[in-house]
Amino acid sequence: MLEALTRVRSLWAAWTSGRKLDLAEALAAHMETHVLELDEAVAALVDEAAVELARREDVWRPFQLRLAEWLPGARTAVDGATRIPAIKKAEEWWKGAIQAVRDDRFRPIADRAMAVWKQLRLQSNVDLGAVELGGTGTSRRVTLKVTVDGKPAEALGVMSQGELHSLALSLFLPRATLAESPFRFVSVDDPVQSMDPARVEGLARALEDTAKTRQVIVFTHDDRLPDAVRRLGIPARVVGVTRRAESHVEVRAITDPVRGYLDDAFAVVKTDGLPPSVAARVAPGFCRSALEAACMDVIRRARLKKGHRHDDIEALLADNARLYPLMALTLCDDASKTGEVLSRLKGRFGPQAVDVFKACNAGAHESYEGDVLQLVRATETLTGQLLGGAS
Amino acid sequence: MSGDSLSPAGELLQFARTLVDGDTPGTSGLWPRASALLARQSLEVALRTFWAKQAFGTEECSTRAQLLCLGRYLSDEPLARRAHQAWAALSRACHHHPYDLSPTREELLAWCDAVSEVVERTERAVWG
Repeated sequence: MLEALTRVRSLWAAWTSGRKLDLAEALAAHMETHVLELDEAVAALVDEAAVELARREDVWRPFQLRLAEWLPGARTAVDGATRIPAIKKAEEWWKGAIQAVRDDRFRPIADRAMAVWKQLRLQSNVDLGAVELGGTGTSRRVTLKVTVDGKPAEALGVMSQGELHSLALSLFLPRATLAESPFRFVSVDDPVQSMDPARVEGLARALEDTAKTRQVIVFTHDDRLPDAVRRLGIPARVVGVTRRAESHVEVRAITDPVRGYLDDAFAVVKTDGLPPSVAARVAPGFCRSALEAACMDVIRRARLKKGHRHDDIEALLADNARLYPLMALTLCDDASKTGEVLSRLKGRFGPQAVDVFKACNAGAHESYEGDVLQLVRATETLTGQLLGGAS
Repeated sequence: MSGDSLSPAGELLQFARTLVDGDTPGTSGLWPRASALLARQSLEVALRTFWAKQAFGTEECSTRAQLLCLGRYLSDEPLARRAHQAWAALSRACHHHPYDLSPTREELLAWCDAVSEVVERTERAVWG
């Protein structure tokens, strides 16, 4: 409360009491008596009020500044709150749209992966169902729906090493051959590891498909893939790489093993680099290998035609990897009938076939006394007869 | 190659080694198996020569049987076992096996070392 106010009020009451006066003289005297005092009191009140006003403004000012700062944000927030539900809906739609686009783009890969898997799985009882992309942000994953004999299972737990290799290839080949990829080739390092022979044929077919639109380069440490490629008549260029001291590398075209051994035998005889005495010891060994390879080819083809399983055939060949039992299997379909080999050879291909067979078998252990070049030529003839008779 | 002082087995082994690390013309790509053929023949020749002097008739047995007897005759079973391993590996390389590649340089040199031991020891046993 302003201190001067009481005084102004009482003076104002005294001043206004002059209304009751009727006489002009009395009124003038009343006004003269009170005017100065009232004027002075009002002036004092005005001064006091001004001071009070200033004081109050000083107290209020900091709050006012902070309020002015806060207010626009608060207004925006209040306005914005009404739009939140709509934004949340939009975000959900957006995530769904991204997933849909991703699924659309991934579907051909997943479909191809399943198709490749079908080529590679063969007798496997593991079936690959849906391949899906999952996860968000930085943690993404591929989900593989795998069933074993129709029952859902974890892929990694139930699959053999060979099956996992096949699965990895099934996923890799479609991705590596996407239209968006700038690379028009695929290179695969040792895809046949721990694969059984039947699966290798599936692999060869899958690679043949890939090779329709891409150059396919495969590195492998064994002969199974080239062998499957030859057997299936898939066009391919096969080169053998041998490494000498200090990684001096020799590269040469590889034909089928029979031709390869015969070429080696001819090379040994014809090169000036080797003395004839060495050629006479080495060439018969190559000739024997050529005959062995020819026998294996005949046995394999005949048994595959009869519906034998790849694994069984390979096991049989591994158990009989010597010329006599192999020739017995070739001519008598029985590895134990080695006693009949010579007469069968003579009957089917003539007496010279017997001479070649004996010379190859013995010549791998000792020096061949006859004409080595003649022996290689005769071996070439006999392998041709063996292979020709089988087809 | 000079080889005048070398026995037939030693000569074969030397050529097996030359094929591996020499640069014999015309042997590109085929040298690993050619070397294996020669190294195996070197071992077999050494054994036959040894038995002909030490236990006549044994040289007519299978190489496997000869190798099984070798340790007793040389009083060195570990050497006989190494020789047997090398011979088995060389034999594998000398036959066609569907999915085997040629032996590597390092494998061949190790087998040659084992054969070399047998050649030396059997010759020393025979000739002193």
